[in-house]
Amino acid sequence: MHFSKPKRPIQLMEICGTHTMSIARSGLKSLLPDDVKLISGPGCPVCVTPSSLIDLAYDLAQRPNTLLCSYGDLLRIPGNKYSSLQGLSQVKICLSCMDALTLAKENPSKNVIFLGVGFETTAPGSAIAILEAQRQNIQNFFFLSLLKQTKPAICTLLEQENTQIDGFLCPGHVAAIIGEQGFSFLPNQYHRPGVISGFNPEDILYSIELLIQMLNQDKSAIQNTYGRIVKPQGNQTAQAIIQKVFEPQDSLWRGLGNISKSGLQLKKEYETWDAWKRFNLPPLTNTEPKGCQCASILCGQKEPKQCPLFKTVCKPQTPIGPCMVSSEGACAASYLYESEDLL
Amino acid sequence: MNDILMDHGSGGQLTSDLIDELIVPTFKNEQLTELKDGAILPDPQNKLVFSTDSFVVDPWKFPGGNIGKLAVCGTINDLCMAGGIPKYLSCSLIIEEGFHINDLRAILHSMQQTAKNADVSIVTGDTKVIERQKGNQIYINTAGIGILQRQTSYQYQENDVVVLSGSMGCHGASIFMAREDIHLQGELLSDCTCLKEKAMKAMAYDSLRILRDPTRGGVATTCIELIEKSDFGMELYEALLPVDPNVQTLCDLLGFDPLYLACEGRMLCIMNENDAKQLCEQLKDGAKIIGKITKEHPQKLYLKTKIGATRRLHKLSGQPLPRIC
Repeated sequence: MHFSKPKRPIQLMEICGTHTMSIARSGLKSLLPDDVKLISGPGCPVCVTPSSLIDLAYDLAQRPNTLLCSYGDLLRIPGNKYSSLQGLSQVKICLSCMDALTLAKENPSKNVIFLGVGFETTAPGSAIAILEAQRQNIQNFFFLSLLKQTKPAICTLLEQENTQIDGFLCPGHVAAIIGEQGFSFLPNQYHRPGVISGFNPEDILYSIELLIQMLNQDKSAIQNTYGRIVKPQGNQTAQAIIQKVFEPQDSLWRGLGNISKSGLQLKKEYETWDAWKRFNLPPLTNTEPKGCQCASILCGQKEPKQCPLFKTVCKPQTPIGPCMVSSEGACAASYLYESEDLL
Repeated sequence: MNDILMDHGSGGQLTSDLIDELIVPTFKNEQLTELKDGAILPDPQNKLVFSTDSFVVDPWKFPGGNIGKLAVCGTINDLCMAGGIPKYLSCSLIIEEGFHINDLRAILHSMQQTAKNADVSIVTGDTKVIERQKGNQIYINTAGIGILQRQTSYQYQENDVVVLSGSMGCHGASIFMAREDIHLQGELLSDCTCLKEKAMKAMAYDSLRILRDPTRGGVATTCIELIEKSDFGMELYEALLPVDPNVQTLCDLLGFDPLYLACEGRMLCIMNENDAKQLCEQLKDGAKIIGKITKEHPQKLYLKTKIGATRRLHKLSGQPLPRIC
């Protein structure tokens, strides 16, 4: 494939962890023109979750008759007080919030708590599980909402002083829910082009070419190369169900700090299932391991190789920061697929 | 009696009953029936290959097999990959108190069927029982003896090619699905099978350098092991890698890479290209040339991706955990 030649050096951000992984796995960066640089953004839900969650979850798991349910990636994140959630018999891997609801039904004597990390993509499934808990009157199932929304984080990034992002590769999965319209703020408010892309390397290559073309023409718009899945208005049923169950709240992002209205909390009428309220949990705090550069990496200000811990002490087997823990983190992708001389 | 009791491992009457009524009749053969402390085997008249492997798979029953079939295939395959024709196996059972005897019967039956199909006899063994909750239902160790048929080595030649005998990762994917209770449309069975016939076909070629089965760590890790003791490097071609569509779906869903999922019935052979083409036709079942040996980048494995880029492949690090979205 031949790319258009950019008129000036450009930096493009892929927001989504699945894009980061596909780019690394396919070796795509080696095919780009020299003056096109890809940087990874804050789109891996595990990576943007503060590590204090692990300590909070660990303490929660020690309470009597508790079963904690989590996506697999979260289990390997190191906490500040505790090493990780791995190996705790009262922690179970679930693939969805519905699985946790099933566990709650099967274990009526236990409090089953789901660690609900994720973006707009996992929010509808979680909302359905909560509505189902309400319908079936299941009182031992609780949702610990750590859900985040993509737009406030991108706005925060673009409003930082030293941000140099010329265009965005927009996440196809999130766009499937929020639609093309969900990214129109990029050209409208920030004059940045964006291309909604699928996850095959071919999708990503084509989307990057479109971004180069738009930048060469000084055009900023949203284009959609994932039209087989993403509709202009998105999935309105999913949007409605998110709005029915959740409302925006301030949320703490690893690397970006507290961002106003960037999270989703359960509405008052669903507070019976809200683990924060039911167990009277303290808010998360932002303490990160010494030397860890995940914060700058998530903002696209540094590359993994610029972190002093990368490959020296921080490795997939012994991760320090979340970008190495998650299989979709920028550091894990770089370590596994891009670095030349391992170990 | 329905369940295994501690007494079944005591060496007393219940142990004898289990051996006499279940194990010996299932594995029935001349050497075992004598029930001496060891089996007396005929003079082999050639060098021997000797291997052992322990099986702790969880769950013990999975789509396409069970721990018994796996324990027999695993050691038979190791003997074959070392250039041997497998002849005799031992079978050591470590069973958790409370395990159902009917399940044990099913496991032993699978072992016998698999061994018989490969013309292998299970000639000696042992049974131990461990207390409830001190283990995970059942563990099996098998050791095996084969007669050396073909000496293999890491002495490759430039432009030798790499043959894979079938699609990658079905075993790893099916175990993961059984363990995590995931259901997808379509059938995904473990590839767990005995490689004796296929290995013998490969051994018939003079240019065969080496045989390996890509078990734990998958095709990528095994390929690195094949070159790290040689003076050569290897290139794999993503476009040629055979992946079952169900395995690919699971990998897409969970963020796994099929190159790192375990196979239990696939073999990798390194040999010259013309012989490899003929062998693929003989092996059928989707056997394919997936890569080649090169003098460039010794001891390193590279993947040519579908979009024409190149990236280095490393050994598996860490257990794959399901990703979030």
